Amino acid sequence: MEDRLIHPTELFVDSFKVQREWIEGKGMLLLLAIFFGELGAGMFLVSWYLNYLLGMVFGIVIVASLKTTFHILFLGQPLKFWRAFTRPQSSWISRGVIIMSVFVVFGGLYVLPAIPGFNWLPWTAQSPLGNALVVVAIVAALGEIIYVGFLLASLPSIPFWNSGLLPILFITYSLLDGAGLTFIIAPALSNEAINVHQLKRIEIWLTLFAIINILAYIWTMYHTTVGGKESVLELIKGRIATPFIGGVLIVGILIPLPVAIYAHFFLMPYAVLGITAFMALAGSFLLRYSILKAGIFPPLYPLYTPV
Amino acid sequence: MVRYGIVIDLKRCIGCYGCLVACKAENFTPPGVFWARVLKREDGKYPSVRRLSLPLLCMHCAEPACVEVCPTGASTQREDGIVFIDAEKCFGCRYCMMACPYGSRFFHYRERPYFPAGFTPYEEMGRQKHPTGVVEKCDLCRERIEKGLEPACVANCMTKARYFGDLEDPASEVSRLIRQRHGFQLRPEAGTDPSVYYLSP
Amino acid sequence: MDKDTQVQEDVWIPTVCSMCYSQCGIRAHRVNGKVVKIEGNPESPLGIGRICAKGLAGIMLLYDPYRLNVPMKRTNPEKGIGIDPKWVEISWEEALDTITQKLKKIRAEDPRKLVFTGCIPSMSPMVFGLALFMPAFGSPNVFISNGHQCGNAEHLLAATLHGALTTNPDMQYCNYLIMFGCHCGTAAYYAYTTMCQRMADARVRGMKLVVVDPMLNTGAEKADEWLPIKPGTDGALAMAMLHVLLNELGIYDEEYLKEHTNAPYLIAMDGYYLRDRETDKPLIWDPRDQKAKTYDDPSIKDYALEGVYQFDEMLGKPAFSLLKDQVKKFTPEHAAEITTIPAETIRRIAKEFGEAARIGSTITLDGKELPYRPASVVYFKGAHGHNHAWLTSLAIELLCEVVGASNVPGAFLGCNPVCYGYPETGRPRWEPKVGPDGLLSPGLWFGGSEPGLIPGPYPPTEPQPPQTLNLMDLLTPALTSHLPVLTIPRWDEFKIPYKPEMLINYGANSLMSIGNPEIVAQSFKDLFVVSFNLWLDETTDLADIVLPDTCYLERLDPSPNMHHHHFPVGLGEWGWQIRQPVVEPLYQRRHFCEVMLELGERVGIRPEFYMVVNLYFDLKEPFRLDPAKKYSWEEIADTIYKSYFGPEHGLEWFKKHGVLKWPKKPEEPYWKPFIKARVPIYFEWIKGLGEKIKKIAEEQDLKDIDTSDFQPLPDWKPCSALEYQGNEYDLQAIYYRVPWHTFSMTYENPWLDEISDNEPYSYFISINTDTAKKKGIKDGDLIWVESLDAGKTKGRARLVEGIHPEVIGVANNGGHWSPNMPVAKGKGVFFEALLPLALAKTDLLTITMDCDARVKIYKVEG
Repeated sequence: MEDRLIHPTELFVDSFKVQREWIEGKGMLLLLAIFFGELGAGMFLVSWYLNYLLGMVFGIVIVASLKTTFHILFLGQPLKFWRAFTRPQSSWISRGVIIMSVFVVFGGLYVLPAIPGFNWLPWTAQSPLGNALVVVAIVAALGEIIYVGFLLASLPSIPFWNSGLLPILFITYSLLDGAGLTFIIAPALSNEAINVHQLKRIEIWLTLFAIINILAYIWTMYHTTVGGKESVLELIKGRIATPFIGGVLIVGILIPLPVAIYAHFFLMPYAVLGITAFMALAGSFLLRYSILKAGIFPPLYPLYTPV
Repeated sequence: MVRYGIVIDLKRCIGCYGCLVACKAENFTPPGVFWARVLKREDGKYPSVRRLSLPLLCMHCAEPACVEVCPTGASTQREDGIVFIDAEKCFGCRYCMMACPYGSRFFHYRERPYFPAGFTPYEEMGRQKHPTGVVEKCDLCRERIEKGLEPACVANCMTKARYFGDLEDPASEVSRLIRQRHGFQLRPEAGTDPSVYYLSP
Repeated sequence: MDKDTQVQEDVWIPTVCSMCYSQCGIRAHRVNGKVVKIEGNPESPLGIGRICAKGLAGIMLLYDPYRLNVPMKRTNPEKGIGIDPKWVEISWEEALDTITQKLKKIRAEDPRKLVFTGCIPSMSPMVFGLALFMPAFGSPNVFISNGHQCGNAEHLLAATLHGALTTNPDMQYCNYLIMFGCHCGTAAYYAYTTMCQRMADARVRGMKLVVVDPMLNTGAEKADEWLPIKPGTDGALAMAMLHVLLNELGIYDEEYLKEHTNAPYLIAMDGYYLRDRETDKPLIWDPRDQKAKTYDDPSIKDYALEGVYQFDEMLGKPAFSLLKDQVKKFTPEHAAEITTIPAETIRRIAKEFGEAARIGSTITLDGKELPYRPASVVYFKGAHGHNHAWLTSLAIELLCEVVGASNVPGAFLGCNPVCYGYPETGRPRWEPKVGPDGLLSPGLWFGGSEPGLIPGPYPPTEPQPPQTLNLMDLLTPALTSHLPVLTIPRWDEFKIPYKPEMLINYGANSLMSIGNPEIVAQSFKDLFVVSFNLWLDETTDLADIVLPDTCYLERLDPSPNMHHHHFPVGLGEWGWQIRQPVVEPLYQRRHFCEVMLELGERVGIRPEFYMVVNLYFDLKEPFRLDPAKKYSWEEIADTIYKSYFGPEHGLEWFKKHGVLKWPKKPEEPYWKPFIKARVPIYFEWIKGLGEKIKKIAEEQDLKDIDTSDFQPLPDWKPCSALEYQGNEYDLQAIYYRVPWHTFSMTYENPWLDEISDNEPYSYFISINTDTAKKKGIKDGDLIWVESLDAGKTKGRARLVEGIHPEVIGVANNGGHWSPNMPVAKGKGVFFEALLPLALAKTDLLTITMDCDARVKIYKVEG
């Protein structure tokens, strides 16, 4: 028996190979929760940067309503959701819900005086207390857009997720989402002036950064582990090629980016830009989908070959 | 300190699925849930081909990734190394299923009888053991161990391919087998330090 | 279990499994009247506390909600496959009344009009039906379903070479094992669970395992060397190995051949023994005295194994030299063309085997010095499930005989041909005897105690013009027969002097487990069929009355192990077991044996029945059944136990203890040095038998009775699948066994079904990847497999590397279609549909079905 070597280089033939729990069936709820969490926090940050209060409110509402609802619905035992707060010392889910709660509470308190009916509150956006609140909210929002990446990246079981590049990619996309949604809703919902050009510039740079991110991520994954390579193959020519190439790359980047660049120099109807912003959002959603879907457990089988 | 572990001798194992059913019968696991299972694969090209059966159970890792990621404290590890789930605490987020490199955890979506006609009297006896909406897995037959018995999959293994014992005790049979026959763990790179060791076929 | 549930009862009951024919010892855990766990019984030598997936899954058979629970009769007079019988529930009283009237009428006319068939896993009740009830009723017309699974060729050689019904290698001491088309110690075989443990021990100890099999499955998975062989050519491989051993290397056990076989017997030019004029005994040549002597002459100084000698104007050659000549044409190069195994591999394996046998060595066990031959073969359906089964099996067996690896430590053993009984009573007891011409005659062959009701094949029974439907009075060497499915509708063609009228079916699903279901259905449909069943399976579509049977956890069987052949070979323990009800039969289910006893009473055959029971179990006074009294099944069980093991070991003792054990003596499994019976390497009597059968067939004008295989020496001839010359049907289909299924019944077990569902092969048709690619078939494609001589079957393709490129492999007995077995329905592949049922596709010497179908495959359209 000693004449055989163990080679961890095989692909396993087994129905348990692909992660399903976090993407199939009820698992789609988790994808929605992740997406809306990042979208909301991203929007809050972008709007804060643009000093666009309604966008900040919108971001908080998305997180507080959509993200939490989808998260709780995803659980096998939704009524026990409060237990999620109990293990921040080791679990990224616990950390995530605490961060999210801090974000919603502090961000909410920060914007609350600006909402009609709440102006009796003893602080304003500009007051010291308001400033303190917004600092905490911004830090929490950053945490909110980072933690999902860490949540996945901390798992050695799934090599495709187990990468420091993943949180960076998620941050980039969160901000991109935030910018995109702000662009869409700002003219539609309010008369508050936002700097559309600035917004578009942010989008262009973020998109370019996202491209570099994706390429670096894919390249690293393809070249470091067997499991990661298998996932990349699924993305570029396997089960997930359509959402990834068609959705993430073409719909999400290759069409909106030239339009945005063109619009930066020439006049462009707002509707076209709105549509491309929607496309970018869809691409972003599909990026999360593709990454979750490409989560593959590498083979357990030690392949043996005669020496 | 005791650290319970299992050694699976692939030279003895014939891939008969006895462990899977022994576990099922002992633990009343519902359809689609396998605390013990067997994977099969073949490698090579005709006529130089080999086939391998790989029996699996929860690895009861010394560094259990599942326990670390659990947000509710439902997954815990005893001092003797047994990793188990407190169904009362589990709320079914399945993060542990993502964290386990061995696919040893199962989410019990909904109660389903084995026969389309409904639950058998046998299944009725065990239904309470398997609440839905939570994750479940092998608990190394805690109740049997407490009675001084071996886990069901070990006690029944027809070819005696499974050995149960204390990995910390250098004189135990499991330690001796690991030493003498170069026992190895699965996916060591995941860093979980499994308590289940394998001997080459 | 719920901790809150009040536990009123918590007991473990020792009993015996019946999920396959191995009948391992189990104990069932009953809590509050419900069975919650089945485990191996550590007290039983059968399994020693460890059982297989099937045995563990017995709970799901007991509690299957689709089981048959009440007696029913058909109301639709039209019979056929898939035609609803329109069952109507009836009372047991009505059912038994109807059956009694029918039986009485038949018994008055000609009892032989009654036919019985049974299924193998329920071994003990099946034997009750065919060896107790049927002889008492007066009909020889029995057959065992699972025809193609049965080992008739092996049974014949086990009897004549080992004095047993079956064989197994001595894995406790064997160092080199060649497995020909069988899954011993891995997927199925006699004493399955114990042999699995021993195989594992042997492999860790360093035993080399060579597996000759067209497919890499459970057996070959554990092999040190897998030899993918073309199906139906194992005989050619064995012949070539014999040639290498005898003619190239000169490795053979001269002393063994001279003293323990008929190798030195002089064979005249006509192929028969040269016999002494006075005593009619076969002669040998003593080279030292330079004269012919009878084989048992005490003055023999040595035996000639080669040369030509003259006696009384007649020339004779020692049988051994004829064997050497016979194998000469099978050079490894010639065999390589036939088998597709390279010549150098054949030479190497033969050499390794011959050297591993360590001719001349001895071992001391229990203070007795015994010959030590740690090399063995084991072979089953893969090798002999073809035409010419006899010749192939003989060639394989002789590999062991020529090196003396027969019934000594490490060698090929008969399954317990010798038993000196429980030490306190000396019973049950059997041992082989010296038969005519000094040759071995088994003491106990098929069942029952010595002197059994069913004689072994040697001394041979004189062939008769057929009077029985299974043709076993004509083809006398066979143990069982599937031929009634051919002869029932054509009884007159076979010159059988009565028309069969009624069939009692004990649980066999013959439509799915013999071959072409159309032919089986044709033979059943004009009979009045009474069927004892667990489910309304496919075969019950042809039944007139179905009766709800008990499963093994609901019934009492006093002799679950049929005396000998279920026990592990070699050293260890004897153990007589009990199968007892773990729960009382649910609903209106009744135990077959009890019902048959009652029918016997109603029909009025009690004296005959008790006489047969007394004979079969060799019951001695005061434990003989008295026809003046009426015994219940429990009382009969009690009597059998007491007769064997003394009054203190009655039914109550067995119910409590489960198994009575005593250690084996070395001279029981390793009887060869102790019993002075020779075994034939030259089957002179087979030759004689063949000529007699040929004559009868000609006189009676029976068609398709080909006796050309009644040869005294081994040979290889192409089976029908290999005789095919065309190109269209380019593949051979074979079946294989998996460890978690037994025939067709386990497909209904949801735990076992779930295994197959999660396992990559058993519900698929395995095809070599390259072969499939050439045909444009992808993994998972739905394909048709169409047989040249029978029907076609459908299944999904699984592309594998571990199979011969000219072969497709299918796990047996899948593809149920009965709506009353919803778990099983549509699962797996119905291999048996591919098998033609015909005399020409049968090895007539042993009545072995040719299970190797010539097929073509193509994608299912649409």
